[in-house]
Amino acid sequence: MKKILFMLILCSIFISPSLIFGSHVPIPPDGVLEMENYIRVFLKYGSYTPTLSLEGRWEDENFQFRYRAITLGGYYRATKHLKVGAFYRLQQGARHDDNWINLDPGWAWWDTRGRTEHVLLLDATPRFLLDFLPGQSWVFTLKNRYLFNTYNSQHTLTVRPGITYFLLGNREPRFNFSFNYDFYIPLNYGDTFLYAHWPYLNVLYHVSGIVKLDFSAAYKTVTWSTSEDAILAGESEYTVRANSLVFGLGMILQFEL
Amino acid sequence: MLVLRKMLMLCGLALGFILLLQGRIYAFEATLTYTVGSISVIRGGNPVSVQIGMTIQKGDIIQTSLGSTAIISIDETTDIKVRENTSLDIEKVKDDIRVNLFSGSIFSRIIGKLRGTYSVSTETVLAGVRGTEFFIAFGKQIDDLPDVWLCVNSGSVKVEVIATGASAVIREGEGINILGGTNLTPAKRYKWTKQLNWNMDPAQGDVEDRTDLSQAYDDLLDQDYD
Repeated sequence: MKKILFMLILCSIFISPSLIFGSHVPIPPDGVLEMENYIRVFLKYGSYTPTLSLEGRWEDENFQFRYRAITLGGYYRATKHLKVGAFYRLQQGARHDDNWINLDPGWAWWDTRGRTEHVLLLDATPRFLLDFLPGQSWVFTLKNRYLFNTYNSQHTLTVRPGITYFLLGNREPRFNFSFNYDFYIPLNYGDTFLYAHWPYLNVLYHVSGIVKLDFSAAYKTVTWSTSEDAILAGESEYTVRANSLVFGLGMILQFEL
Repeated sequence: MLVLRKMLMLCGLALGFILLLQGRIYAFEATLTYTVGSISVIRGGNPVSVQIGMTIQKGDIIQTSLGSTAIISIDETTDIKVRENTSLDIEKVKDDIRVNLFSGSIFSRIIGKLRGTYSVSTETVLAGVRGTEFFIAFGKQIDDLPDVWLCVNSGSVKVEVIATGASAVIREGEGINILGGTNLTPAKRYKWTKQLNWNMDPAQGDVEDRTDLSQAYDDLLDQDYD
C-alpha cells in the first residue's frame, strides 16, 4: 500500500500538468525568464515628490513585450516615518484570470496588448532606520498599496516588507542592497488569498546624485483561478500556479527642485 | 658709572616699550553686539552677567543655548555670529585672531582690514582665511570624533587637518565635510547651504539662522525608488 502511495505521489510530481488538467485549464509555462525595464523620475520639492514612471515587461516563454504602463502621481511625506502617495496608471497588456478564454475549440490567453486599462493607486509607506544594526544604514520599509482597476473593477492590496542596506561613501549613498517580498492580495476576485507573491533582491548603484541604476531579480509565483469563460462552459474549477524568474533593469532619476 | 646708569635706563625703556608693544598686540577688543535667547559668558570658571555691549575678554567662554544667537565684533575687523548650542572662546596671538570652537556652529565675516590672520579652530581642524565670509559647524558623530562642515559664502578658506597637515582650499559657494574631523572630502556646492542666513546686521533684517543642519546628510528615510 505504501509503495502504491509513493508511486502515485511520484507520478503526480513528474507527469505534465497538461495531462492532469483538462484543456480548459491554463498550462503554466516551465522555467520562464522574464525581463522588466523601467525609467522612473522623481522631482523632490520639500515634502512633495511628483513622479513619472514608464515600465515595460518581456513575458512568457516567447519573451513577448506585452505589459507596458505609464504611471503619474506623487508622494507626500506626512511624517518623518511615513510617506503617502496617489497615482494614476495607464496600462496595456495586463493579464487577468478571465483572460483565459474559450476559443471553441480550444483555450488560450487573450492577447491584451491592445487593451487599455486605467488603474488608480493609493500608497502608504512607513520606513524605519534600524540604526542598531552594524553600519547604522539599514532601513526597514513596509510598502502598502491599494489598486483599483476601472477595467474590471478589481480591488487589490499589495504589501511589501523589505530591508535595505545603504553602502555609504563620504556619508552619501553609493549602493543600495535590498531584499523585499511582495504580496499581491486580491480583495474581490480570485479563489486564493494571494494572487501573486515574489521575493526579490535589488542592487541600486548611485551613479550620481541624480542618476541611479537598478538591478533586480525576483522569483514570481502567480496563481490563476477559474476564468469566467470556464465557468460559463460548465468546466471544473481550477487554481494553477505559474512560476517565473523576473530580472529587472531600470534607471531612476531623482531631481531636487 | 654714568654710562652704566644710562645703559640701564635704556634697557628699562626698551623693556617697557617691548612690554607696552606686547600688551597692545596681545590685547583684543571683542564686544557682544547682539543677543537672542540665553547666552552665557564664563570668566575664570564663573558665569558673568551678560549684556549687549559688554567686552569679551581673553579666556572668556561664550555659550549659547537652544534657540539662541549672539553676534560678537572683534577688533572692528571681524564679526562672528554664534548659532544655538555653541561653545567657543577667542584668543589673539600677536596680530592673529583665533576662535576656538568647542561645539556647535558659527558664521564668520571679515569686515575690516586684518593686521594678521583670522582662523577658526576645532579640536582637529584649522580654517584660516583672509577677507572672507564662511560658516563652520560640527556635524554628526559617526566616527570617533564629529564631522566638521565648512561652507564659504565669499572669498576662500584654507582648511587644514591639524593632525596630518592635509589641507584644501574651499572657494566661494563651496562646502566641505571633514569626516570625523580628520578626512577631507571633495569640496562641492551643497544645496542645503543656500538656506544659511548670512546676515549679521539686525538693521538689515533677521540675523537668526534656523537652518536644519541634519539636511547636510542624506535622509535614508526619504529615498524613493518606485
